[in-house]
Amino acid sequence: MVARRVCLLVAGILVLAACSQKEQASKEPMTTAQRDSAIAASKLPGAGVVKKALEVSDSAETRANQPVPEPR
Amino acid sequence: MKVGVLGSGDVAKTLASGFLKYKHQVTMGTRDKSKLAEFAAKNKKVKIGSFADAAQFGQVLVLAVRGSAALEVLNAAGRENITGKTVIDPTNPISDEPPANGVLKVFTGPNESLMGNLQREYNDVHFVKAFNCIGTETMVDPKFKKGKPTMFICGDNVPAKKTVTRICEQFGWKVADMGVADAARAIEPLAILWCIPGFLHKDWGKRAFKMLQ
Repeated sequence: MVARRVCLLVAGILVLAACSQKEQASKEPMTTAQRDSAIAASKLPGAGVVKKALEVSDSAETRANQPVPEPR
Repeated sequence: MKVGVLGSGDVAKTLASGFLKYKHQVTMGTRDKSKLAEFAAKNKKVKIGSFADAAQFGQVLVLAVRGSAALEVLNAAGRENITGKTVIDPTNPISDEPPANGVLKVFTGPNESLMGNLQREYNDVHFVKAFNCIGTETMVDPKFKKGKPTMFICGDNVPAKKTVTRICEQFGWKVADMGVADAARAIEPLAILWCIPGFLHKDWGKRAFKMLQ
């Protein structure tokens, strides 16, 4: 009886963990390439400028995420 | 109808293809003819020339260029070639700054629109805002299960809007006339709204606006 309950609990935890991973995956930020291709595919008037704007945004984000060099 | 398409990007090519499909005569204007070489090879009936050539040729013109280049292209087309003509304006005043939280920035002021500015500069040209808040995949013959999407248009000249209405209807749209050129202040931001699901939720799927009444 106890073993069955433990099995059910473990199964439940595994299902929850799988759902949580799926949720996290969908929130992952797009890569620059994905964004570019998405916007290029959408082809709204002015899309070329949006693409450039995102490149600027992405490079700013990359710079911000770079580790700060330690003072000597 | 003779149509002059100013521009060589995807919007220019898509709208030019639409006009060719519906048996209009098309001349495309560009600074760099090589950008349209492949398109011209696939579409034998299209002619390629300068901005001035296309503007001179067209009874109706399409200003299919980057928003920040719109005025410069009109200048290159030549005032004498565009005066008194209907100009379809799909341009958006999208700034070259990155979007904030998925919301694009514009280079126009809070109480102005790009088309309004162009109209003030060229007050003898009949601008009609159209095709600015949709992607190229739905500009011509859009297919949606829930019926025809709405093309919001505006402009000061009534006959010009009637011409553009006929074109939009031919291209498969239901037209909603939002009045004079001032309404471009309301229509241009729809492009910003259109992009938000893409930036926030990676949803760049086919979509368009529909007015329910």
